Amino acid sequence: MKLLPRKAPQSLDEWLIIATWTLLPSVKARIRSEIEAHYTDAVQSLMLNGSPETAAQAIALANLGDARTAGRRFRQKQLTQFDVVQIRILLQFARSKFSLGIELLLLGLFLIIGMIHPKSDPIPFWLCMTVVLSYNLVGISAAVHSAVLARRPSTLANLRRLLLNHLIGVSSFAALLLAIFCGQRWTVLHSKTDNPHMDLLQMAALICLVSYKVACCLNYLRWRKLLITADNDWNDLSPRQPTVA
Amino acid sequence: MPFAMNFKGSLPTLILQNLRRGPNHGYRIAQEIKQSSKGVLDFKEGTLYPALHGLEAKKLITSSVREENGRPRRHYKLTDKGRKALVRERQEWLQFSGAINGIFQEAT
Repeated sequence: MKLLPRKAPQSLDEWLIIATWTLLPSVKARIRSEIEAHYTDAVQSLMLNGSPETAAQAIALANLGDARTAGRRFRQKQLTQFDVVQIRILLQFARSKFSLGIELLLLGLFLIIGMIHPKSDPIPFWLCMTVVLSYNLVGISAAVHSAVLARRPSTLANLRRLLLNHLIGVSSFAALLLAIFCGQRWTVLHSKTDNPHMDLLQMAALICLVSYKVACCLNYLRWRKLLITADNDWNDLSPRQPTVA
Repeated sequence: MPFAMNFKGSLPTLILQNLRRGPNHGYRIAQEIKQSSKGVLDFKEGTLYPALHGLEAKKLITSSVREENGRPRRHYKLTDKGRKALVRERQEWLQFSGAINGIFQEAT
């Protein structure tokens, strides 16, 4: 893997390499064509005003400013290759039957522990349903966007799978939150088990799961904003064939 | 003497204001902003493009590639949403600058 050049750019090409670092090829191409046209105009204008060509090129390059700053701002506005890797993993995960099964198991587990744990009072049914349904609404919206994101020819099959997966995935998160929120009922936090290592393991699993879901939500918000721009080429996102027919 | 404003915040508004007159490309937008401010507002031109891309992502402007002097140039155009955003931003700016002016006049 190439590393970002440390020295200050001496030419437009070097400036562009730094400014478009880790961006998608389609985005890089767009930025390159725009900045090259800008630079050419700037050099021509300076030469018309009497600057020699070499001086004009140096001034035009300096006027573009710090390539790293520009690159940082471009990365805030455009998808990077790292985003693409994450989206690809997320989409594959969303489509897999295995992940669907895991989510179903988790949901069942949370509901059983959270709602009918023998050591505590059950959580009111209306509260459970309100929270789960609210999250499901968000889940539907996320699923629809994901289906658009997947942009597969067999839209209906993927849409069904994504909807189901998101509904259950988000529901499991909601049930988990509900279980934590209703404190005493959650055995991980108030465990009376004899094995203290089990507590730690459960807590670690809980932290991992919550972090994963939070990271997904945060990334999702960022991608949703970025994916509406035409120059984030869909082909860069999903060159692989869909696993669901 | 030119000074660098906090352009991260105000550059998008200046771009929208510039595009109010019609479609324009990056280089000309940069030059016109500098000229309109009589060289007072100076900024690094490389930061103009992330701002343009950000405005496009928010659907305040759209872009299309057109031929100009035999070369393809990407022209940006204000959308209706962008026009409304500009009106709002301008009102806020006028209120803000009016308040600051008031304070300075009181002080003198």
